[in-house]
Amino acid sequence: MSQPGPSVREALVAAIPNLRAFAISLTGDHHKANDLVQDTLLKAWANRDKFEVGTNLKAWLFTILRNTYFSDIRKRRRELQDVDGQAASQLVSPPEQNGHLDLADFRKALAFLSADQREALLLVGAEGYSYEEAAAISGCAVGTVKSRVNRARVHLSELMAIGTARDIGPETSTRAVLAKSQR
Amino acid sequence: MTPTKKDGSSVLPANSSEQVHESQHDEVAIPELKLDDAAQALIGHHLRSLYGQIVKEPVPDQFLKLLQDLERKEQE
Repeated sequence: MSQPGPSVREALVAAIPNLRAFAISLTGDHHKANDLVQDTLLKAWANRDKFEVGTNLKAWLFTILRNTYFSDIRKRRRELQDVDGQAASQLVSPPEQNGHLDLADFRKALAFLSADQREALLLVGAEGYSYEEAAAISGCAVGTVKSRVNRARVHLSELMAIGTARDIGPETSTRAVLAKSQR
Repeated sequence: MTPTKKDGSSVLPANSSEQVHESQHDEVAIPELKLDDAAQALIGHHLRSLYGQIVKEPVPDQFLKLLQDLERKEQE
């Protein structure tokens, strides 16, 4: 193919749907997600000489987005001293535990996870990255990603009371998870 | 036809100093908790539906305009 690759602008536009899905699912908030995507695009544009068009652009953008998100969280943590329980405390009630799981319940349950766990689950379970790729994006060990994904799935199943997880004692019951997230 | 810029620099900033390292507090090994296959499949299914719905939405104009403006500014 002697065709030139897409322009940087076109390549960025092509990545926006996935960036939005990641940002909205990560923050649970459309307004924050929009700001995050916009910041990511501006940073990517300013540093566009650092990537080759067509090569791993999306992973590069995901890295910028999550770094922006987590450094914002740290900034707010210094100001507010409350980040872990924030999403949970904004919810009126935990998802209904009637064994029936719809998308709205699922969205609520996602908000109860820690940001670290939500990030890992989204990268691997929704975006389809390998544990190794997700670890590179998150800047952590592969084992950490595996552990976060596993914990995220266990917490979700508890929150939604589906498919009773085996070997789960009372210390990891939903109540304990919720109590912890609301401390 | 504009040639594609290739400066050979690394694509992923994974090892660069700007990489943010999040809290490592959950690296402690936890006992293996086995999730029901059906529960795991259901979680995966809902996760992909939720995510896929957003991916399918059209790109908001504000982002298209932002990038057009950036590109235009560069060409001036």
